[in-house]
Amino acid sequence: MSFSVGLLLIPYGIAVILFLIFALLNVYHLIAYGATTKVSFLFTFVFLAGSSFIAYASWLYLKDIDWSAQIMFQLMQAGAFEGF
Amino acid sequence: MRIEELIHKKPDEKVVFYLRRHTIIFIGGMLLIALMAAIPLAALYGALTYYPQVFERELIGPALKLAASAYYLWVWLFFFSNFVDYYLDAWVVTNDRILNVEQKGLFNRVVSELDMSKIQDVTSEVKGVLPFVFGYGNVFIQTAAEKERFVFEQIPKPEEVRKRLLLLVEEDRRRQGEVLLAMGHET
Repeated sequence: MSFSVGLLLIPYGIAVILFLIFALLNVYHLIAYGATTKVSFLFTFVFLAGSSFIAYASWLYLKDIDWSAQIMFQLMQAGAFEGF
Repeated sequence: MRIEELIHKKPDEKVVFYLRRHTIIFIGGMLLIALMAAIPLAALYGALTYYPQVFERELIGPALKLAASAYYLWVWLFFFSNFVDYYLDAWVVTNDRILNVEQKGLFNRVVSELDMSKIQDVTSEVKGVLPFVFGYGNVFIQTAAEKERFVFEQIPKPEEVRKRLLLLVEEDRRRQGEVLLAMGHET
């Protein structure tokens, strides 16, 4: 039995999409509830800069991975623990 | 636009001051987030010391890198959410009423209003070591109605706020008395 390493990208993609949705909701709240001040702009900028940095660092660490590599699973055989 | 500008002011009504929780409350949240960010770094140090090949494993390596990336994105999102939650909670005090604007999570928002004329009693409270050291506390506003007290939570200088509120209540009563007197003269 085998599966591709690329399958790991599915839960990661879901986490990233949820991150984007919640990030946009936060920005929406700041705008909708009248908190468009210098402080809120500063924090939004810091948040966007930090997010970009994390995305870039992630890309650096993940770019060399072979996502098409197959991982083999070996089911445990009966008697594998014999002798213990 | 500033948060106090969201109020539809009545004629002759002006914003006297507005309050947020003490900055130390926000900083406390930030420290917790910094701790959350530091935990995987400590785990990484341990892993690289005792099991340096962990990132070379064909499944565990990519899985750990993806998990770390998602984890830090979410920790960073908590940082921003903590700021939004802190920044959107405010109490606006005008010469006529008090407004409590509260953001509860991302999907709940509560706006309540209290007329100055309904205030009966104002109590300030500084309770505990941290509130004492950093000078923050609660201000409880009791009204004539039976409904729950209006509370300014974890605000800076609660005693000063209590005094200012009592002055505003007194001023509001005097103004209302003058209006009633003027109406009496007209009739």
